[in-house]
Amino acid sequence: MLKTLDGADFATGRARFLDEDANALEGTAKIFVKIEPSNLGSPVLAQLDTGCPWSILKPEIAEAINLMDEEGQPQVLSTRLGIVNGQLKRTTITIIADDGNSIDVEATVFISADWTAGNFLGYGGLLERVRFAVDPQENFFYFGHSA
Amino acid sequence: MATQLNNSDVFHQLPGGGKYTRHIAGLTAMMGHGIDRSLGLGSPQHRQAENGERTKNAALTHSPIDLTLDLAAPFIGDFGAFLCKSSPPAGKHRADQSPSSPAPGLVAEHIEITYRVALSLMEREQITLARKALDALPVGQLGEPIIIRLRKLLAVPVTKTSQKRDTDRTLDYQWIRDHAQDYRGQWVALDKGELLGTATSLRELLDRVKPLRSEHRPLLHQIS
Repeated sequence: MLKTLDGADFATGRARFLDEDANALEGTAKIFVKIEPSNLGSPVLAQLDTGCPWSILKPEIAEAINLMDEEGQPQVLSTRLGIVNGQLKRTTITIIADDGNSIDVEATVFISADWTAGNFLGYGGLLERVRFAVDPQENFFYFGHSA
Repeated sequence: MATQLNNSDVFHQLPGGGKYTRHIAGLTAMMGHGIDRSLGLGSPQHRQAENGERTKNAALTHSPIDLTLDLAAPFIGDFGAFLCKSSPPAGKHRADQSPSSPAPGLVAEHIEITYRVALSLMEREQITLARKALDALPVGQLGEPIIIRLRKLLAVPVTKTSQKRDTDRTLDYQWIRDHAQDYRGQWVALDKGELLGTATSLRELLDRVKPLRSEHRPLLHQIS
């Protein structure tokens, strides 16, 4: 789908993203990509945020995939909403393609019952092993395995 | 010779800073950086290769705590010597080496300090450095449950191709733009630009959409 200069695969899947969401706390455009956390059974949206140290799932989603009951590593996260206490847990996040291949990422995510904002795809524990590119003209999110 | 311990402030702010300082020296040596390199962040030519905290690393390089080799050397006391000489880090054991057996209390203390250092680094979002700290433990100490759990949690993500597939959700995205104001606080299920169901909780919504025979799995979204 997308190739590196030496002809290797860079991205093997792509999906249309949402760049405007009434949920956004700020008025600026964001990139929301489709993911399916574990066995949820349906896609949900997660904001792409490379500045976020961990990916975050909404507590209701974590509950639906039975992640709330698992014991995790206590972690404090400093966010723009303030300090949030939660736990780091390991789960599978699928980045879903409209075209090409989706990828499963065995990722570390932050879960907190106190988290009131949306889902986030952060760099640490998830995006650090995903190649991705954004086409803002067509609102395509390209992604693939990182070596 | 200048020595940069760029993240040494992490350790100095921990309780029992002396132990951590000695541990830094040990970890630095075990992580293969050498005493004349910066801890974790690597020398400038290595920074690009770092995963995880690249942006933060760039910022940190502007505020390093410079120590001279003369200042750093005393930190490698008996504890550091134990780390460096008696216990090569994971993956660096050689068949012809027979590590001496340190006192159990010292090993336990080593594990505990490394664990706490890793946690502190995680709190500071220094994920790559936390991984390195744990990986620097001798092989024999990697089997400790707290270390196993933390290493598993900090393991780099693993990716594989998935058979799951979705369709273009442009119409559903447009629905969100057009109708979000009317569904504040609601969970919505969307497909082909149509609202399949709403609920006040995800669990309730999942129960509602499960019986529906949609050609595709609906997109679930909470309008907050």
